[in-house]
Amino acid sequence: MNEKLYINETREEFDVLVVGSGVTGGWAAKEFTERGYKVLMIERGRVVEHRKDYPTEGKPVWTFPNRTKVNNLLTEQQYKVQSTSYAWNDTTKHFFGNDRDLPYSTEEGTDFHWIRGNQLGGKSLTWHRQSYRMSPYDFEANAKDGHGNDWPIRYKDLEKWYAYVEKWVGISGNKDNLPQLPDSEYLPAFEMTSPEIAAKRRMAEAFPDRPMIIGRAAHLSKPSKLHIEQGRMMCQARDECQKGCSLGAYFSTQSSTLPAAVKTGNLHIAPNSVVHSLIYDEAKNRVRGVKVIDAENLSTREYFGKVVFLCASTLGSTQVLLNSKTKSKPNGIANSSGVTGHYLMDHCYNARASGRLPGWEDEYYSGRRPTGIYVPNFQYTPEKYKKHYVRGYALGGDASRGNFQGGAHADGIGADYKTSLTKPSSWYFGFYAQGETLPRFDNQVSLHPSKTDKWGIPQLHFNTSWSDNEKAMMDDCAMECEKMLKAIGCENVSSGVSYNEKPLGSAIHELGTARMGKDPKESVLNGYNQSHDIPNLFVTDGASYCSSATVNPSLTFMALTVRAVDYCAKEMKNRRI
Amino acid sequence: MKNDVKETDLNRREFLQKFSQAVGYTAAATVLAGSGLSVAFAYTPKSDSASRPGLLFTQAQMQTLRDICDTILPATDTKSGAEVDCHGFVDHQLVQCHSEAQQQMCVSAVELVERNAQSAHSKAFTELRSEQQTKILRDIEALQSATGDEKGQFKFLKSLIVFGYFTSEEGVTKALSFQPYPGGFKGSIPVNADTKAWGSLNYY
Repeated sequence: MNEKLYINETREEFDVLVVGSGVTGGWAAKEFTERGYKVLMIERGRVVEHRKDYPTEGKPVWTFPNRTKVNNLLTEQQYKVQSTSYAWNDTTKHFFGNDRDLPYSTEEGTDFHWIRGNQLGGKSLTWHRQSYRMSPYDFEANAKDGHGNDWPIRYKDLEKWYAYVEKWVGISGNKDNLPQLPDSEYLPAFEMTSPEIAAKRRMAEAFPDRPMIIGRAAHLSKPSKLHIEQGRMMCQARDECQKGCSLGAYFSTQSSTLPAAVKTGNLHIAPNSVVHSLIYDEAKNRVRGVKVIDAENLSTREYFGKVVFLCASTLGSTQVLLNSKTKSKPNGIANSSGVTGHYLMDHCYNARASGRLPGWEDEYYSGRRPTGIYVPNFQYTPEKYKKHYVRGYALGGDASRGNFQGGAHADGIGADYKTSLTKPSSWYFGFYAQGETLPRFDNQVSLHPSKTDKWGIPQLHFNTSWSDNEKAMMDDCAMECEKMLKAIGCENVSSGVSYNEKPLGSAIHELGTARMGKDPKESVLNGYNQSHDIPNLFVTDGASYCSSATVNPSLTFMALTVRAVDYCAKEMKNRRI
Repeated sequence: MKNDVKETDLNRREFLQKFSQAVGYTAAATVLAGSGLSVAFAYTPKSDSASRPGLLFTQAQMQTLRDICDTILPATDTKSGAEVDCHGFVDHQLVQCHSEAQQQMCVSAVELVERNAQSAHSKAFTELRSEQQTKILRDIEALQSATGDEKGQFKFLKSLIVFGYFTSEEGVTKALSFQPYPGGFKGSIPVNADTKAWGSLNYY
């Protein structure tokens, strides 16, 4: 990387300021720089360089002081919230925010888990990599059943942009021809295990409306020329992903979009730059840049650009929007609708079920597959809804054989017991819910009236809860999962719900706090992720969502971002921005 | 099966070669260094953890714990629990990563073992022959000499010992089958009498 890539003080007016460097920030930077625009990518955290800054990659479990668990006191004092994430442990904690330095508050009697990745690359380093298109039904759901505002776009608007990002990213998957889950541009699918193939067949017989497919993941199962040119290699199924992958086998900013943007020579990066607020020219009604607090020495500086793309994560972008205000616009300069911060969504991952699956004792698998099986939402139109709640859920899951971790809890003492622990045990099949969360005005994030963080920025204050709809959905899902597992042939099936333990935020799919819409009176952004109020301001991350759907959101906000860049570039060319 | 192994091996070698070409040999060596070799900063198992008090356990308790580890996981074609310092690991891990309540559960479990040894044989657990030690522990699991709660405490201690063993270098690479570079995912491979479960890089 060239030395001039990273900058601190500058008076240059850039064509575009991109705030954030995660999935959407990386895409925005790549797309603008490749079109010849001078871009400054502003990142609140430290620099993480591909390969060089993956200190735990490839290190075996026994080389960690606590075998990858984290010291109690450190967890309690600095990572209490982050430690609730499935991906957080001693091998990954350097890619998570430090709760002590990143405080937020919650309304009494409510809770919210805000999991953060504040470094170059953001959460693209640690994401779960599951990649699904939203369906035509998803974009119509709000209009059809009246929950939330109507998306200003339809599937057709996004279709070619999905294809565009998918070819670049590399999505492993199988052509499934499902109306509720449109196919992507695929690399070869990961294999199912034999019990999964059998389960798929048994499900097709017992529940024809619930096809089981292999999960689609942003992994190079077989890199194309395009991926090799990015410097990426085939996935080795190591399960090292969240430590950073030097092979670039999964999509991250570092492995994929950043090298492309750097190659153009049009990119600069301002690391350790916490965006405080937007600089606003009230007379011209344009944003001129951003005010930044240095993450380390707390000094203030400004960056200027003709256009600002907020790609700082749903809550990060919303915090900047809310904190950008004037005397005449005390609720935020781009908030004439008053809905900024409202309609906060996540996915509800609060039901699960599992059971032992007899058979296939003579089969095993090799490698640590970076995806599982998937059952797409089968309640995707109002006619298919259950009577007592609206919308639906998808299921993740897999079949795997038990090992010593299960055996550790069995009775047994001595050599035979020890030997049994070295063998693969029974197959187990599990499902977990990925429920749609309704967009509700009441689920709100706002600026705390008095508490600030160490950069002097008002803390976010959360007032969120699962509605009866999500709870009823999870209760139903747990029961349905039991039925499905029994149909598959499982024994000792058990299920549970966890909505009382796992609040919003737990799925790390925050969405919707600066939603799109046709009507500026009830939405923040138009159909191109452009602010209704301020033409040279765009928000292209999850904040722009009108509904959560059930699918993992990253692929969709990649597509939204490249579409917004294409639109913005044309508007700039035509001098409308 | 043989062909499978060969093919995987070939794929791996081919892969390592390509990877080195792509990123340079020095970078490749750095990344690959973790794959199967001990690293200097490792928590190092000690050969004499029972020769002094632990962080949590007294010296006498450390000795009892050492023998509990060896009774649950004796030497077979792989080392025993005590030989890989499971007792030192458990003592360390409890203090580092577990609650005081869980620490107390384990102290109680060790005390129970000692108490049962005394009442059955009027001897310390460490002074018993190995089949006597085995019976003491089996009787706890069979609820012959323990209440349900006491068995629960013992089982928690046992799960930590098992975890410690199968995340040690010996456990991961010898007792289990270690594959740092699987070379991709295969959905089905045959199992025979010698097939071991995979020792993964990641356990939490």
